[in-house]
Amino acid sequence: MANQNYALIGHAHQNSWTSSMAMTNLQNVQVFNDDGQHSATTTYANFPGYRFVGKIFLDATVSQFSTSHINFYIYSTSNYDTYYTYSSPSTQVYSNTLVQSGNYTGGNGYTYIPIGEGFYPSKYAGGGSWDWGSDVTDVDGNTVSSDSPRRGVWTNFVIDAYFQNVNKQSTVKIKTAAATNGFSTSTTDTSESYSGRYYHGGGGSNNYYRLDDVYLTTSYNFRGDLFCYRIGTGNWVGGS
Amino acid sequence: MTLTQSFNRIAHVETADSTSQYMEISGLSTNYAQLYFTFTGYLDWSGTNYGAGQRTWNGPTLQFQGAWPGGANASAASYRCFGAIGKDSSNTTYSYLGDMINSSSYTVSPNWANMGNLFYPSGTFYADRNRFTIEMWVVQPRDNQVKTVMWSGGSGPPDTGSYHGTPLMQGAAHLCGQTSSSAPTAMGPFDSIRIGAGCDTAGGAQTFGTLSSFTAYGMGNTTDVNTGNDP
Repeated sequence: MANQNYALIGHAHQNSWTSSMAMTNLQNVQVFNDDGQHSATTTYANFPGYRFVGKIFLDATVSQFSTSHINFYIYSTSNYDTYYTYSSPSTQVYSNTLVQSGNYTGGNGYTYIPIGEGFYPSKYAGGGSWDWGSDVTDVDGNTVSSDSPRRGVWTNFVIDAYFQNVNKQSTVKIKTAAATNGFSTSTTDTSESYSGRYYHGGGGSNNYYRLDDVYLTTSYNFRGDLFCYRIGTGNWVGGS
Repeated sequence: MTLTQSFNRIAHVETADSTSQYMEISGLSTNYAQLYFTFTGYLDWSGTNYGAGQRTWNGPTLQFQGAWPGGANASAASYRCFGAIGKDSSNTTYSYLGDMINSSSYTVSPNWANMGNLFYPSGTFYADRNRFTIEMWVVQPRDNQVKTVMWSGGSGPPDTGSYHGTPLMQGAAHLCGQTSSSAPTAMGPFDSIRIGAGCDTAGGAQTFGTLSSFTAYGMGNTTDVNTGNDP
């Protein structure tokens, strides 16, 4: 059995509207190997690496959207600095000019890392909903309504961090992306006139150097999944 | 909620020559919390209409869920794609939609999602020095929602002749959730994926070079999955 030092240690599953997601006590999760035997606890020493992977569906339109309305933070809500680049919602199908924008939120004054520029609001601009106008039948034979979130735009994201010790700031790097449901010349178009979103950036707080809780909060309703993976220093889990 | 914590390398393909227009991984188990894919390799530029000092119009490309010609869900091929590409030749980042075939984008492409815009160096082309890497994520590959592939990749500049790399390739793609032909597949299981070499400006297929590799990992599992007719 090869060494496999990556472990899934947490899952936040939100199957109804909410405005926040959290994972707490990440340094104290019990890890089991593939034989079901307890092999380790997710202390900082055993598992210094973090990867958060997820996807969410936002109940908002582009026009309702604001960069400051989706935030990520680690336990503390103070003294954050961050810089990120992103694509503003564009009405251009293809651009050969600079479309990337950058934003700095720092000076220790921020209470979180704003990541809203990387998330795609799932409602269409025109009608204010994501209604496709007709029902479809899924692969299991179920009718899926025209306005079901199952058929809309989901923003995916990956957030990485590496813990050194309690005297050093834990800095996260963040990537997100989503593709629009609009912009087509076909009759199936949603009349959505914005392209999509991507974001990459980094940041952290100099007020709290631990990495035991994480929070994703919004000013909108959303639903989705958030996973926490940890990277270990030993073969705690097994696998092949 | 019950988690299975380990991850596994579940598939790996590698080119033995420079004739492959795409690399495919099919029949994947979807019993994972996340599927994670890595690609490393390069494009073989021989036989294309590109001259040295040009960039691909598209390639590498992405297809998934059997939505390609001859695939299990060929009729569902309606790709929606948004990406950003950073170029060190101009210090700019471009955004685009669709497949970028002949620079004419389609936001609902019957072909593929585009991921790259790579540079063919002037001077001698050393394949082993012009490689790029892309990683891809698919969250909850067996849930009942539209599956999105998110990617992040990049290449350094070739070390001969010119110095135009593609340091940023980032974006996302999904099958269209609207029509009766594509929506069921879009919400269905994510069990197959193809990374393609793209095509040149005249529509001619490009190929991957020798020892390009594409790997799939199953990243733990969870019992909390939307599999019914919810939400």
